[in-house]
Amino acid sequence: MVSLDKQTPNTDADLQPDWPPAVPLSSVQFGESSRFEFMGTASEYFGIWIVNILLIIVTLGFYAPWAKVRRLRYFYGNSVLEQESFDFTGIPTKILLGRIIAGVVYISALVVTSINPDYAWAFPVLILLVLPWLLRATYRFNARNSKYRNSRFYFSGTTPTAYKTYLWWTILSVLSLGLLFPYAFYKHKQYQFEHLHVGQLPFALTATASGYYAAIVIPIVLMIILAAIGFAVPVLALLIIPVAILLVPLIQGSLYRVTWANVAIGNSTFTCDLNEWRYAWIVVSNWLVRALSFGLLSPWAAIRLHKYKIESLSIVWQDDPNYILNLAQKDHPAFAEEMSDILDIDVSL
Amino acid sequence: MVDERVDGCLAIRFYDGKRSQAQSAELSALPDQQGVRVSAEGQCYDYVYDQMTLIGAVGAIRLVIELPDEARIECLSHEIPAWVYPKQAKRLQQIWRLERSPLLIVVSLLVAVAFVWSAAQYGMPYVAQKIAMQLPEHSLSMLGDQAQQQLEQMTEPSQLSMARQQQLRDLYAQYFDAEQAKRIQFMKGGRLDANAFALPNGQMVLTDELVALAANDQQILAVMAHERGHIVLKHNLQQAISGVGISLILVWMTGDGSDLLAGLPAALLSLSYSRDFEREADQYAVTQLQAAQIPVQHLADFLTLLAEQHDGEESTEVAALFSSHPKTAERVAAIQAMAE
Repeated sequence: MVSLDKQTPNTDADLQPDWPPAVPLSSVQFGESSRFEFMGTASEYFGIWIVNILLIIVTLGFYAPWAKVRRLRYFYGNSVLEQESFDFTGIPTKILLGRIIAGVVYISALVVTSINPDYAWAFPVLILLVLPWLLRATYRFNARNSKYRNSRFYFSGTTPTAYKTYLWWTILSVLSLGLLFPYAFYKHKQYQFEHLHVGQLPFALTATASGYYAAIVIPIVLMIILAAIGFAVPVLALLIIPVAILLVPLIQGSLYRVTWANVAIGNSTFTCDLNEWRYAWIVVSNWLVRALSFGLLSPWAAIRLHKYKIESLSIVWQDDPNYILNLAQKDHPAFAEEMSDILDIDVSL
Repeated sequence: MVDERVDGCLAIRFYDGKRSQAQSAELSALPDQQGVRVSAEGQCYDYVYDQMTLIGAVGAIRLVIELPDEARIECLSHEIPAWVYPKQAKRLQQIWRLERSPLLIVVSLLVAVAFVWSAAQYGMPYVAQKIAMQLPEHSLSMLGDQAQQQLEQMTEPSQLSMARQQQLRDLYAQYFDAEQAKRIQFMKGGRLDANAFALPNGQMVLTDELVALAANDQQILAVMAHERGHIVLKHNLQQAISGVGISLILVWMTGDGSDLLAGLPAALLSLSYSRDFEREADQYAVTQLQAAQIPVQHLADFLTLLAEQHDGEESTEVAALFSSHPKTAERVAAIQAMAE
């Protein structure tokens, strides 16, 4: 028992003096917009990251799920909207079970393929077949363990829909030589958001397929033009290097914006002012910094990218965030059942 | 700011699990010390310890207690009295302190770097050797057959006469091993030049250029003895196991396989294993040559010939660091030392 009758100085007052407030201050006006904030810092996260690695070494890897939970909690907990933070409440033992299963599969695949390379094709095929199930399980796990203002997220997507979305559209986009890939990606985002809820508020994706086509095609066309200039004018031949490096991050940034600028939650809508060029610059310079520091600046790079992504988001309120009621979970009859589902584990490879 | 510590009470934020709005509340120990009581807005909620799930503080984010019926306690300070949750809280607080202590962060850093380095340098090769010796000889025969096909694509059929090929095989059978002699192949190296290979399926391949370069048949026998060393000591298998092991360690530590840098150190380290393998194969060859009463100097002489032919390729420091064969002068000296 700790004696509490004498006042001990508040040692963490310097961390964030008035946050979180003892009583919520929030009273947003309808139509008002609030921007997301990210409070995490590279120096603080470095300590968490390196101690995670130390404890993983000391425990021969068994600390890894606890490390993952602490890492996620750091990123969620430092993401703040209207002075209230998000939280991740996953139980590490469930992640450990998932990891052990994934580890056994991974090791057996490595052993089989290194002894007999003729079977090397079997592993990717197997992954492709279980991937829809795996993705759905991971979305559900992540959603249920995410909270905002103590309201849980909830993912209601079913396994058949996951197979229809991922297997079917993957096959179609391969058969169409990639022409249907933006549409397949649109289907993927639709599956993710149209089945997501927080409290009683449902998420919705109002984006159209044409938005995804633009997000993928415009960077490709730009890069083709740059590459063509590089080939045509020998002096500008160096243009081909940024083309090769920038293409994927540019597409990633555009896809992020087209998704988040078109997400609705209840009656409120998200906006996203992420600039794909700045995003691509952050991604590429992060690669460079990590390579030059032999990975030691990975925490700095992770915080930098995450901060940019989170802080590009705002929400225009049409619902009062004080009333994202938790009761809604009882409206989903499957909820209790889902809680005890043995297959409901995190197997994120 | 609200005073966070009243006598025996802790100021907290409390969610009742129904509304998504936190209330100011006070936490106190139950009289029987089996749990805690939350007093919020004139109402009391009692929880026994078994119902409480602690989620530890991370950085500036404070300790949280998840409760039945979606209720939740959020602490307002990092200083938690022991009665809040006697069993787990202490360990969670220790991890939180560890992550904030500069000394421990530096220690963690050193331990992590030392661990990866020593596992790659000593741990995995040792384990790989033990495992390789337990596995049957043909463990990698499929991989070897593939390597052989690749090699055949890169080379052309040997232009040595059948008689000459058979003469060298017979010579090898006479001095060393009749079984291995059947599995010696000759190929025209082309851009592979004077070279010899020990394949994972137990085949030994020598190029026409190597046979032509050798000053006498004893030198060719010495090279064959060296390659036989790679096969007997299962170096291919050891290398495969080490590679798998290192990538497993890195995936296990970083938590995912997507790390761009994860493959790089493993690839660099696998080069230094093969340098150790060359020394082991030299040692094996020396023992075999001595048993067959062939002067060990032939191996040293041939290495020197080979180096003279490749002159200039191994001259820079960088090449020596990253090349899989140790510097020839070092090897020749080592072989001569072994012979004595």
